[in-house]
Amino acid sequence: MNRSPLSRRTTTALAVAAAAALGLSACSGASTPGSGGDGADVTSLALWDGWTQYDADSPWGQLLASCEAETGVTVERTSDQATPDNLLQAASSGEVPDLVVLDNPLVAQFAETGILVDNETSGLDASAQSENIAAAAQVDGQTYGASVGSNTLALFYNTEMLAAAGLQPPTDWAELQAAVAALTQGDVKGIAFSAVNTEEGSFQFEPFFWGAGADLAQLDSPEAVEALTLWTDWIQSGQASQANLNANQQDVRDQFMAGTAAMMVNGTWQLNTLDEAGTPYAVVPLPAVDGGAAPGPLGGEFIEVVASGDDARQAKAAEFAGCIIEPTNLSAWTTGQSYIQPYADAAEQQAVDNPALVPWVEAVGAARGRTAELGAGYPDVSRALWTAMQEALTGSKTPQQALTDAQASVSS
Amino acid sequence: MTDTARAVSRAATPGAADRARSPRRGRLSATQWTGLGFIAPLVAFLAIFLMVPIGRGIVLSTQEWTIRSFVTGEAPFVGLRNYADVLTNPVFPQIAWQTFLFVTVSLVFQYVLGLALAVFFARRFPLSTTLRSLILLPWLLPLVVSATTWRWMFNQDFGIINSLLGGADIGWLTDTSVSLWAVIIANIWLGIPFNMVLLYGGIQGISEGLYEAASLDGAGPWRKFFSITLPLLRPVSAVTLLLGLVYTIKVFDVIWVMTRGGPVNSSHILSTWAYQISFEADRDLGTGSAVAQLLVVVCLVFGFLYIRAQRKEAQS
Repeated sequence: MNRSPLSRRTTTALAVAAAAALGLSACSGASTPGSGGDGADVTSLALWDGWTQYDADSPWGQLLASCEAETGVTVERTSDQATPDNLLQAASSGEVPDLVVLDNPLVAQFAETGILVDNETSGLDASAQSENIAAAAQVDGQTYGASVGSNTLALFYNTEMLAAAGLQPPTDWAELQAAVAALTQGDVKGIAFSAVNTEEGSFQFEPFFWGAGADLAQLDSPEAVEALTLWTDWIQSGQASQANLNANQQDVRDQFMAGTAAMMVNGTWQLNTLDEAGTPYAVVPLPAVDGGAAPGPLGGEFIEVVASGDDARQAKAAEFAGCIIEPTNLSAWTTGQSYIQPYADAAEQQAVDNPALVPWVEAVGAARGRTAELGAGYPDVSRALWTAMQEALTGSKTPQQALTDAQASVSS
Repeated sequence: MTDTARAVSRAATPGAADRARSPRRGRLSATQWTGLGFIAPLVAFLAIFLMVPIGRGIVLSTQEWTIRSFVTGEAPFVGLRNYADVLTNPVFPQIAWQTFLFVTVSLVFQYVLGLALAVFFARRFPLSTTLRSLILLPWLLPLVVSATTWRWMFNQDFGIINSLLGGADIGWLTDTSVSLWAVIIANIWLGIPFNMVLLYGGIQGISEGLYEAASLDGAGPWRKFFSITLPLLRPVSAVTLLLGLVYTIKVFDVIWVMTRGGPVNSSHILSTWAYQISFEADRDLGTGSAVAQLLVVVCLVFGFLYIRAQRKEAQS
């Protein structure tokens, strides 16, 4: 195998450029979709994912097995929580897998490095997936890979506490503020969220940031200040705990389960634990400032064809990925994972089959890819955003000042 | 004189050649070959596991490394720009100061408390051995376990520390003016056993007779401590403090588990900062390595001091 998976591509690109310059109509194998062989001679594919908790009997293992049968390849699966790091290391040594499952905010960053193959080149057809979900994997007009299921954040509320306060689930910020204030009593905080100094903190803040109408390209807009002021007021008035600054989403869930938070911002990945604990809860989409569902950050993974430099393998990998993302194939997996299908009609069907998923289908329908606006520039902006958030919440700076500085640090 | 002539003259006077000990041009005796054979594994080990990584780190710190570099292998040489970026970064002075505070305060308290415990356990009393082994516990626990426990204990709402303080509402891990002290407290607790063990060993080495003689002269416990224990412990103290310094300056796990350097950088030290720059967001390994090199320099300086202190001790 080549030392660098790109050298062949680069050479091809140079050849195409040279040929074009000479006015010849050159047709080059690697860059033309579909011409890279049908992959009939490829009998095994390497797939990397981060789901160490899922073995061959899990819905994910079964989904892979059914697609092995359908496409006639054997998949050698490697699960490791450090998959993104491993992929980078693999890229520098040239020993890359054929397929990788990546968390969606990483896709743009990795695509930009050239390690992923876009769908047009690989022949993976994901065009039926919902536009807002696919946007998370789009860089420079190309889509990279396909969603294997989505989730996002929503507002969990303790049904007993809400009933005791005589409140309805909030549908806009005015109602949300009123509910948070009314539910704060003694040791019970009105709302809990994670405001940690990591991507997780930005993730939790984004439904408020976007719900106010702000835009990641302009961190210091009046709307952004309004969103950060909302959080800051909650912390400073004691309606939300300052401990949120060091609480991850599990800690937040624990507060909610312990009954010390009446509402919380969290995602589908907490549903099983909450059900087991028997906490009386219900879920509504997080409201936007003037009502309606706020755009939450999209969660969930994408399956990606890796640039191995071998057209036949890439074509086969794309075929396999195409099998995985078939809505009927995805069904058992998404149900087990509490994921929402990345197809509008399949998602509607999920809501019909299981009414508990109605708010999640609505929230995912409104969700936004974190990298949709900024692509590979997102991680830097996200860091500026959670830094500003913590500065405001700790009182080191006003929301306005913190966001102005954040915007300055990103633009410089 | 030609080479041959020289070789001949050397062969003629073997004694002179031996005295000059010049293993030139591969003309090594069997003993010398054996000697080389014995040090080869050590040299290879040092080269592969120490020199190469250190060299790579230095090279990295002069490169503009982005996530793209992993794939393309291309990381342009930028000279000292990464260092300039680090030193002019607005949070650098703050983090450097925090590193200094973290190291000095940790060291002072670890040493004083470790010494107090060592003196205490130097006296024999019932259960002293059992208690002394209990004191070693922080050292035996995996750091991630102790740090996670500290993180719970320091929790603002339901942590045991705030309830012991009569239901105080101190944001140990969430208030920018307190978080550094929280990680320092945890780190002091972690470092006490190390100091106690070394100093206890040192105290055992002091002759009982000196204390008896001092008692006869009418010296009280304080006088004995300041005139006998402390001066005679000096070499051990120097080694303890220097090793402690190197161990403290490289602390990472305690802070990472407890606060990740937050909130707003208020509990970062250079090591956690270097990690965050290198392995989070856009994986800027170049700038992260530059920060790490600064740490290496500091550690080297104190490493040399340690070796000198050891040599002095061996001589005395």
